[in-house]
Parts: sequence; C-alpha cells; structure tokens
Amino acid sequence: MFELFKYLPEGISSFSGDIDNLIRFIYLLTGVFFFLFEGALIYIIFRYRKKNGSKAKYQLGDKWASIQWVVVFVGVVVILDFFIDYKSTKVWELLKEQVPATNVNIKVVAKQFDWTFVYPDKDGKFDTPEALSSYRELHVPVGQKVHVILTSQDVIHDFFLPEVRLKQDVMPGREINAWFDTNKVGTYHIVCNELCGFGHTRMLAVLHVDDEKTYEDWKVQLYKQMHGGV
Amino acid sequence: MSQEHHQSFLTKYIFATDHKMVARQFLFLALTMAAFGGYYAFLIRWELAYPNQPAPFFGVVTPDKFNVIITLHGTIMLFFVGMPLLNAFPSNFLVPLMIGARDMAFPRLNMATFWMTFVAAVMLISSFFVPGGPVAGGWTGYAPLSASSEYTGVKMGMVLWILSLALIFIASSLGGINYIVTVVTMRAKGMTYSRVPLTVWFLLAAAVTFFLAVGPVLAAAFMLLMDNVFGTGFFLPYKGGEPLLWQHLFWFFGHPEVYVLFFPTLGFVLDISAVFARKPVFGKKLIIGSTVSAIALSFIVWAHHMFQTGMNPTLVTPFAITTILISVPFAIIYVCMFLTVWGGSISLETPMLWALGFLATFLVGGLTGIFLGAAGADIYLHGTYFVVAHFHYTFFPSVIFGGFAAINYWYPKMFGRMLNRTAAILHFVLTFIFFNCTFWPLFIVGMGGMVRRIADPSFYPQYSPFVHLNIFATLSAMCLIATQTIFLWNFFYSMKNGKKAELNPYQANTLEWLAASPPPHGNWGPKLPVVTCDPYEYSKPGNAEDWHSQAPSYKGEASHG
Amino acid sequence: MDNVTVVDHVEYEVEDYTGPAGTTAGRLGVWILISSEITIFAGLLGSYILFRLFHPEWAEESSHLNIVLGTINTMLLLTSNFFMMKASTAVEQDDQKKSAKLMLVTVALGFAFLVVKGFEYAAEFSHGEFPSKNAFWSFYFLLTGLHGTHILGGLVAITILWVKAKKNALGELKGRVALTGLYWSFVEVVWIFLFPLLYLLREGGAK
Repeated sequence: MFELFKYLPEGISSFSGDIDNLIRFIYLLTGVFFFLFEGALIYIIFRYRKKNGSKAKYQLGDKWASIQWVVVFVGVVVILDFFIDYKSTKVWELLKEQVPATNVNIKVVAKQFDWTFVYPDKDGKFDTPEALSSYRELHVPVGQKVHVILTSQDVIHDFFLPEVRLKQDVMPGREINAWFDTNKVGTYHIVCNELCGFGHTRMLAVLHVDDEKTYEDWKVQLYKQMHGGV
Repeated sequence: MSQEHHQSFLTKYIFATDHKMVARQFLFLALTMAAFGGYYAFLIRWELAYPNQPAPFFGVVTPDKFNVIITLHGTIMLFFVGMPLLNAFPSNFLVPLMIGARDMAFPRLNMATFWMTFVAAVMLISSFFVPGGPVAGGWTGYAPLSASSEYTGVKMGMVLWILSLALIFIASSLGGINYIVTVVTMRAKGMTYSRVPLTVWFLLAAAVTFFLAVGPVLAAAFMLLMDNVFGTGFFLPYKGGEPLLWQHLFWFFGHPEVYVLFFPTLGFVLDISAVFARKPVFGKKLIIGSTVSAIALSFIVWAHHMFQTGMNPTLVTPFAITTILISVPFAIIYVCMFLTVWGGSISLETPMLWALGFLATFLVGGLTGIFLGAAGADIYLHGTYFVVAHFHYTFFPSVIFGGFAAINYWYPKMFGRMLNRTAAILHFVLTFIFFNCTFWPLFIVGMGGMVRRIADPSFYPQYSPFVHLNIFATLSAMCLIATQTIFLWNFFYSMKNGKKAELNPYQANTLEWLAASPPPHGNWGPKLPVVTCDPYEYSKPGNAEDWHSQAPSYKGEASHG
Repeated sequence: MDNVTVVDHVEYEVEDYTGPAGTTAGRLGVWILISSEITIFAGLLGSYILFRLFHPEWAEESSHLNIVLGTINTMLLLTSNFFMMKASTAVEQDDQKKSAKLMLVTVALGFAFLVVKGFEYAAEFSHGEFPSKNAFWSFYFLLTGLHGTHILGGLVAITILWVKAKKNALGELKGRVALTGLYWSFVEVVWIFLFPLLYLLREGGAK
C-alpha cells in the first residue's frame, strides 16, 4: 500500500531516469514532512487531551518572538521547494524547450479516435504519395533521437508514452514539436491522455522500438503495403 | 427596517428572506445534490473496477454514459455541493449571528440567490431529459470538444450546462456581495474588525476571491455558448479561434475557485480548534495577513494546470515560481493550526474530530501538489490518477470534512437539538477510514501510469497488475457512500428527537451562542449584543472561567421591557 | 430615535446601515457588483485584444463598422449619463417631479442608443456579417450584445424609478436613484472602451 513506485513502468529513454529521480526526490522530501506532521498530530492528540487539572496555555502568537519560528520553518520549506524547482526546470528545459537535431522525423496525427503516424519521403515531406502512413503503430529505431510533429484533426488529444516518460497535448490547427529517444528494443504503449470524446477510452496505439535492421525492413514492408507491392 | 411578525408558510419556508432559513435551504440543496454526486461517484468506481458489467441501480456504464457521469460528478460536487455547503450555507447562517446583526444587508437579494441556485440545479438535472443527453466534456469543458456538437453529439445538454453554471456563478457573486456588505456595515457595537471571528474573515475571503475571479469564466461561458449555438469560432481553430483561450480563461477562475472552496474550512477548523482546545487561535494577525497574500497570489498561478498544453514552455518557469510562493501563506496557516492545538486541553467532541481529521488528510493533498507543481515531474504525472488522488485529498478534506465539522458544531444552534454522539463519532471514524482506503491506492495506480477519464481499464493490459487496487478502491468507495447514511439518519432524526440543546453547549465565546437555539426571526431580543472583547479569550489568566463571551452583558429575550 | 423599530409595543434596536466613511450598504453593494462586472468585460476585451494582435486582417473587417453611428451612440450615452446625474441631484434636493423628467430623458436617450444599435445590426446582417462569419464578428456581436443587455437592464431599473418619482412616491427608494446612476456610468465607461477598440482601431498589430 505504501510502495508508491511498485507499478511504475520501466523507463526506456535517456531522460526517464531524470524524471524518475526527480519524482523520488520529491517523494523523499514530502515523506519527511508527512511523518513530521502526522507524528506531531498524534502526539498532540495524546499529550494535550483534556485531563483533570490540565489547563491550556494562553498563547496568542502575536509577538515576533513567538511567530519567528513559524516563519523560519516555512522559509526552510520554501528553500526546499525552490531546490525541487531547480531540478525540475533542468528536466523541463531538456525535454520541452528545444528539439535536438535528428534524422528521424515523424508526424503524429491524432483524431477521434485513433493515431496515424506519417513517415516523410526522401525529401522530408509528409504530404506526398511517397510518405508512409502507419495506422496505430509507431516504429522508431532504438538509440536515436526521434522528432515528432504533433497535430490533431479535431479536438485536443494528448500523446502519452508512459515508458518513455513523454507527454504532450496535441492541438488542432497547430503543429507542436516534441522529441524523445529510446534505449531498449521492445513493444510499449501509447495512450491518449486528454478527454476527446466517447471513444477516448479506446484511443490506443503501440510503440515498437526496433533495432536498425528491423526498422528499415518494416518501412519497406509498409511502403509495399501502401503501393500494392511494387 | 421593519420586522415581519407574522410570516405565512410561503414567506417563512419557501420565499424566505430570513438568513437562517435561506441557509437551511442551501444546506438541503447541497445534501440533495451530494446524493446525485455520490451516486455518480459510485457508478464511476463501479465501471473502473468491473468494466462493462451492469452496475446496480443503473445498468452497464457504457463509454458515452461514463463521460457524462464524470462530467456531472465533477460539476455537481464542486459547484452544487461545494459552494452551497461551504460558502452559501455557512455565510448565510453564521455571518449575521457572529457579528451581532439581525439579518443580511439585502434579505430579498439573499432569497433570490437561493432560487437562482435552485433553478440552476434543476437546469443541470433536466439535461438528462433532452435530446442528445447531458454534457460530456469533462467538468473542465475543454474546447474544441465542448465548443461544437459535432464532436460529441451533445448540443442542448451542453447549452444547459453552460447556462446552469453561469446562473450559479451569478447567484454566488450576488450572495458574496451580501456577505461583504453585511460585515462592513452591520457589525454590532464594539465589534471592531479585529474582534470579528476568523470564520467570518475566511467566509469573506472566499466571497472576495470569488467575485474577483468569476468574470473571465463568465466571459468564456458566453463565448462557448455562442460557439455551440451561433456557430461562432472563439475556440474552434478551423474558424480562426484558439482552444487554449478557453483553458486560460477557465483556469484563471479555476484556481482561485479552489481557494473559494478552501477558505471557509480554514475558518471553521481554526475556530473549532480554539473552542475544543480551550486556547486562542495562534497567530491571528499572521493568519489574516497570509490569507490576503494567498488571495493575491491565487490570481497568478493558473497556468500550472496547463503545463503540458503546448503553451509557450518558457512561460512555465514563472508559473512554477508563483506556485511555490503560494504554498507559503498556506503553510503558515497550516502550522498555526497545529500551534493552536499544541499546549491545549483538547476534548475530542465530534467537531474537533473532523477538524483533526482535516489536518491529517489535507496534509497529503498539499504535499502531493508539490509533485505536480514541479513541471518536470508533471510531464509524467499530469492526467493520471495521481492528480485525481491529489485533488480528492484536497477537496474532500475541505468540502466534506470541513462541511461536517461545521454541521456538527453548529447543529445545536441551528436546530435546538444535539446530534446523537455515538452515531456522529461512528460516522467520522468510518468516513475517515473509507476515504483514505478509496483514494490512497489511486496515487499508486496513477504512478503506474493509469490515465484519467477512461471508461474501460480492461482495454489497457498494462493496468492489469494493479486491478486489485482499483477493486479495493471501489469497495472502499461503496462503503464510504454507505457510511453517509449514518449521518443522514442522525441529521434528520435528531431534528425532532435529539436531546434539547442548551444555549451554549460548548462554552464558546462567539456571539452566535448567545442567541436562542434556534434563534428567532430577528436573532436577538430587543437589544443587540454589545461586544467588549476578542473572540479567543480561552483559558486567559485572570478570567474566572476558561472562556469569556464576546458580549457578556447580553441577556437575550430576558431583556424585554 | 431612528434606529429603533417598534413591534408589538416593544422597541427593537436595529443596526445603523452606515459603515466606515459614510458608505451605505447599497453603495458598497453596487461597487462590488461593478468590480465583478469589470472582470467579465476585462476577460472579453483582453481576449479580443490578444486575438487582434495576431490577426492584422481584422483591421479590414472592422472597417465595415459604421463609425458615424458608433459616434452618435457614444454621444447618446454620454448625454444620457449627464441627465441621470442631474436626476440624482434633483432627488437629493427633494424635487422628485424634476428628477422624474430628467430620468425620462435618460431613458429616452438610452432607448435611442438601442435603436441605433438595432439599425447597425440589421445593416451588418444584410451584408452577411453574422457572428459566425469569423472571430472578429463573433467578438463584435458578443461584446456589443452583452453591453446592450446591460443597457436594457439599466433602462428597466431607471424606468421603475421614473414611475415612482413621477408620483412623488420614491420614499425609501430615494437612494436608489444615485446607485442606479452609478451603475449607468459603469455601462457608459464600458462603451468608452468598446467603441475605440472595435470601431476605431484601423491598424491591427504584429505581422
């Protein structure tokens, strides 16, 4: 019951460790305060319960001498908060403020209620007949950075890759750039994380992290499928 | 001002202008709507534990019905239970009594606000009976999903939802005006601002925060209404609109709104703690100063609800900083709450149990907010059940624990009878246990990646390792809901059969305890109470007793003639 | 004593409605109401301005608005407010009949504002300019429509007061004339923001 991280899926990107460490760090700090205050509460209930002959202390807390410790304590809390924010900002900037250069560019098109992944043709264009369209299956080569261009054809969706630790809302009328990488071959999950209508519960896709050869083979297969086996 | 001595049934119970009757009307409305909200909670949890199996008293909760139910659960619990229970009911009952007034500044406006709220509630429920069914866009109503019926097939239900919310927002604003004006202009002689009890201060803080915050969401509501009905394009990109505008306007209101639902409980817990620990509130000026800064800060944190939306990522940093800063005043108040009971002589009567329960549970809500306020961690946690657990660990302590603390504490004054003590304590203990059992597992499930607002978890094989946690949460939720019947029985049974309450059963200082139980129309006898001291003189050295009424010279009806 | 009411031969003490600095309950109430209303219009206008900055082509759309009629409306509303102020002074001087005449003029001018607006809307509809045409027109109709309902509400209130004042029967409602005047000035001030932002801005913003 208290193992918060028991079902946390394994991280498979270069930054999943950073995010997990951040969350664990916050867990540690908040855990200390949790036990401190719940402990104090239990102590108070027993120590200061009404007893014969006991009288409450008439403390107003209106002089600086008595409230200074409150302010100091809260000051410590704030410093810890800012420290958390500092670590969080590093992760945030890495993930969201820039997209590293890469050869792997994939367009992610969300609509009620499925995902289509478009691989560009050799000129980098997504809207030509040479571009590859994959329905509900995202294949990426392991160990490489992947640049995704997210757009929606109707309402707001959200592109959530739990094992990668990537999440980004997908907006209509806009293309949002995001990136991720992977370090382990396998099959993983893609989930829509923004209520998008009655089919929201079924808006899943699969992430296949392939080694280089499997990835290229798959793209060739897909091309053949799309163009009737040329 | 004249006092009607003869009230017909209609003017006493239906079109009541007496603030105490209006308070009761809001209380009953809140309890009725809570039954709906709780029923929807049961259906949600049922579907999550036993997907696609028929729920008792309903049938199969299909995905379209699920979306409707989660929307209405949120809307009802926040606006039709939270606001009437924590703002309208206590402000109406307590404000005139605690400041020594005979009624509100604008009694007929008061009556109007209740009936507007009632009509809004009826409009919302009636959306079940219109073609297309009720609203299904989540209580946050993000556009474009909510902006056009092409995305959900729901049109009239959406219009009714928007209008119903607009109406209750306007009613609440008008109510807030009443409370503020009453406190500013109708305090009894000697009731200086520094002698006004913290309950009243916090009710005012909530009213002020509300009327300053509600404008943008009303603006957004009109825009959403026009998008739905007139085909305008405020939020629809293919018509030149901007979906994020809805979110900005909504959360500009939405964040201060959570404090509107939180401030009153802070007041109740502090006042109740003082009475049952027989100690003054610690750091009253510090608390009031913190409250004012919290109100100000609450208007500049809103985008922490929007970190992952694709808004400019550089904007995240300032909002993360303001979010950290706003924890300061609340941390101060929370610590002062502990210091209020520290060193006291605590009697564990039911109101005190609820106050202590609030301290124990709200801590979890507050601490888990830190995970979400860290934008890097929020990347993983946003939209998962971790968020659901976080806000239930803040809302439930505020609205439910705080609401029950208030009801248990002031019940003798409202109805002239005591609640059955055994039943009340049992209700508290079971609610506390089942609340934690329902929501604690959701932190774990959320950390496992389970996302919100999905009707059918069985469709997600990656969630099967923790299906037992979902089932446990559902069973606990069902027990939690069932436990509330103890309260309902106690509440109605004791009205007629409870032990008759004395004037001041808890020996509290504040003015309302000087009035009869229940107070008559006009509250006080011929003479108003004259206030001579602070409300927190408990166990003051030099006083004969461990309490000291704020108006010791007041004699009530006995001062006739 | 005028803070005592007598019921069944017993004198009951009542509160004094005057708060600090002579603020009466009613005046404070209207100010709070106005500040809340300001946030509604601020939300709408703020959104409009943001949109406008990113849509320079709206300058072309707004050139279809009739500046002449808009200016006439501005004058009508300003004059209407002037007369309402005088009506309020007349009530203070206990001349209800005079204030009734002044309030009648106020209502007439306010009604004329709505009539002019009606003509504007009709002309716009005949050119195919509906709220659904594009976001500029959505904002225009929502802003002026919401403002118009506030004018209508004000007119209803002033008319009720006019009816009473005509018969010298204002009684306890005397203070309401000044308060309604306060609300009426707020409605005017909103228009003072709306008119330039909708009608007069010719250059839109970032390209």
